[in-house]
Amino acid sequence: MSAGLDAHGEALWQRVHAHVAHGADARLETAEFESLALEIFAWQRTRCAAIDRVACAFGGAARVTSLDELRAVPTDAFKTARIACFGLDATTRVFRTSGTTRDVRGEHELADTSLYERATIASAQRWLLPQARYRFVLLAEPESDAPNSSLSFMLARFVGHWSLETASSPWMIDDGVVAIDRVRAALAASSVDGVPAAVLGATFAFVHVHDALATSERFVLPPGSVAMPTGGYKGRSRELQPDALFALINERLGLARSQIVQEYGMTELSSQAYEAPVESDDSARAPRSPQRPSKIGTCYVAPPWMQVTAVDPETLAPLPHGARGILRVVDLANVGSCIAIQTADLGITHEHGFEVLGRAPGATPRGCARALDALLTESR
Amino acid sequence: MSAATTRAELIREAVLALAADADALADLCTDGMISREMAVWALRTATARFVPRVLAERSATPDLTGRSVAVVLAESVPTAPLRAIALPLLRGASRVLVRPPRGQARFAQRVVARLARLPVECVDTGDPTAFLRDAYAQGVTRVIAFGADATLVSIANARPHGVTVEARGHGFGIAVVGAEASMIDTAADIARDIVHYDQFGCLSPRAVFVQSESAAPFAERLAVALARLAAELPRGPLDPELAARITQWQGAVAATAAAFHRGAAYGVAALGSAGFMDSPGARNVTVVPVTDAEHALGLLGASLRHLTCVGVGGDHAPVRRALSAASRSRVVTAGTMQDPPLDGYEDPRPPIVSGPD
Repeated sequence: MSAGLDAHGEALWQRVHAHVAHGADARLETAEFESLALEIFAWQRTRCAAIDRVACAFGGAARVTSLDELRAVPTDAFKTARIACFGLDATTRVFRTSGTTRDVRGEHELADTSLYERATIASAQRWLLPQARYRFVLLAEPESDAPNSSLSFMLARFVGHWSLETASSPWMIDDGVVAIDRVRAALAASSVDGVPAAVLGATFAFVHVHDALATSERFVLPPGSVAMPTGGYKGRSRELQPDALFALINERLGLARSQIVQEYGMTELSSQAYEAPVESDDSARAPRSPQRPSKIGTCYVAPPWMQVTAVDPETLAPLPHGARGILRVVDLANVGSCIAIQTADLGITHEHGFEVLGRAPGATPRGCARALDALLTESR
Repeated sequence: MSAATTRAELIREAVLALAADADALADLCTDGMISREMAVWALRTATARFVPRVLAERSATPDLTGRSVAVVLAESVPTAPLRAIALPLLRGASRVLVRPPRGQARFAQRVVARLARLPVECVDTGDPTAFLRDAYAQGVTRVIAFGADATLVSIANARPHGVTVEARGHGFGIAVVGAEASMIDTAADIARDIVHYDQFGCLSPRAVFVQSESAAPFAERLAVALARLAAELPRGPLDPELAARITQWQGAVAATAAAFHRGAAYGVAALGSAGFMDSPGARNVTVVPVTDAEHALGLLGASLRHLTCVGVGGDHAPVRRALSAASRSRVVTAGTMQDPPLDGYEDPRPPIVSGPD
């Protein structure tokens, strides 16, 4: 297989591919992870001038020799520069961040999607879709209508891997509107025949489904069913606090909190982390904390080829477990772009996982800053 | 002695007391999240303008005589309340009700306390709507409101018959460096303009336009100057959201800039081509190569109407010519952007007035 990379890049890509092929259950020792990550990052700096410019700006020109020294590329760099380690003519897929037509959107180019696909399936198999087959109810635009959506791409791969054979399309968004009759039919079918349903998609679409159903309409989805709201509300529906959203899903679909799995991913990554229960058969993977309630917690777990670290918001230096910082992600599956991504998400890491706290709440921009952002945006 | 003279003298006394008030310094640090060193500079600079001659000039046209005035303050540099409260008094207002800015109330409250011998009081309600409703009930006929456009429009639209609203919106500054200017000296001057109030003021330069084929040489000198100033005037603390925004901006700019200089408390990007890129503040700025002042101002596009101040390295004349005759933006020597004369409000642009004179 060719990832559109040079010989060194191809070799690195193959090594990552081998780790991903072992699945999300496998172990990847810290030292091996670090060694591979640093080698990939050093190679990426030679192949993508934008990555090297950012790395130099944040950490200097010298080669990074430890993950502690690593200063990741902020996600916003994907808005202003091409973050890719292959030629333009090798691009086969472009994922774009969401936003209005006035917003500058980030772009993540891929030359070969096979690693992305394998990583996506492996993680989902471990934490989201452990059953053999599902009836999918996808609250997202079909991949054919949204070729630049990484969410639609991921969901399409799930369908290919797990779908129950059926003549009905699993995609429930037609021209931006929830096809509520088809949602209803799919949920009813699973309620009757016992095939686990996987209700996956945009968070705001769950609200739309709730609003479109009759007040008394309820479904009792069979064991093994799962819901995955992701991506936030994006101004497309009223916003609910997480507990209210979970209650809504429980009320309408009969799914317990343990059957609602949140996902942490973004356009700029190739891999995803998932909420994992505190109670887990795999004690080595389960997040533990004496402060955490004995029922399901809200910690995310990343696959072995993905490392999430909280860093100091000003110095970008890694913080110890338990300290609040902004999240840095090292995703080895991003061989073709940039493996070290600096998010603007506030979070805390623990020994076996991490918590996402969202953007820092209530922070008041000082002086004229916020208003200036708004007035300059209006002026563009 | 006229009432105006007395009033000017009382304001002068209050300002002198404020200038020596250690608690006022603490207020500025808290309200503005600025360092103590910055607070010392800010208090000294803001109060120094209140000299008798100028106070007399500001009292000479008391257009608010007999009027009860409400002042709605907004988030701004922490010393902004001083002028915002003093000026309506100098304009002859019979009474001034002040609503302090949310989250920045301390210094405004202290200013009002110092002016206790004058008809001014602080009304610290959480909601400007409730404040104004009560103010109108108490006979206020003039509102001087600061803030975002949406807030100002709302206030203007909700005013009762007979009430006049002076709306003063947010703005920003820029710096322009002429080809003839000394790069090292101008970089040091503009660094001061950036550093003062940590670049969060409505006069603060959000971008630097250099009349040159390349922005890189000036950007390098500016970075050196900012690094030097960091010890003298340390940056205030950053909340995590602002720090995260700064990191994102720096990454986005560094990815494409011709050069990028990043320090513990600043970021300077030399753009490879002309353009206007906003800054998150906190001593982060782009340096843009332009052909002349007209080119620079043209890059602002529709934002030009929000321009409050241009700090100039070199000859002011090209900038004045490039600004339209209708523009009231200040054109000042670089290094002095944050120390405007007491000729009115810091932002010189005329307010949007709704209602009768």
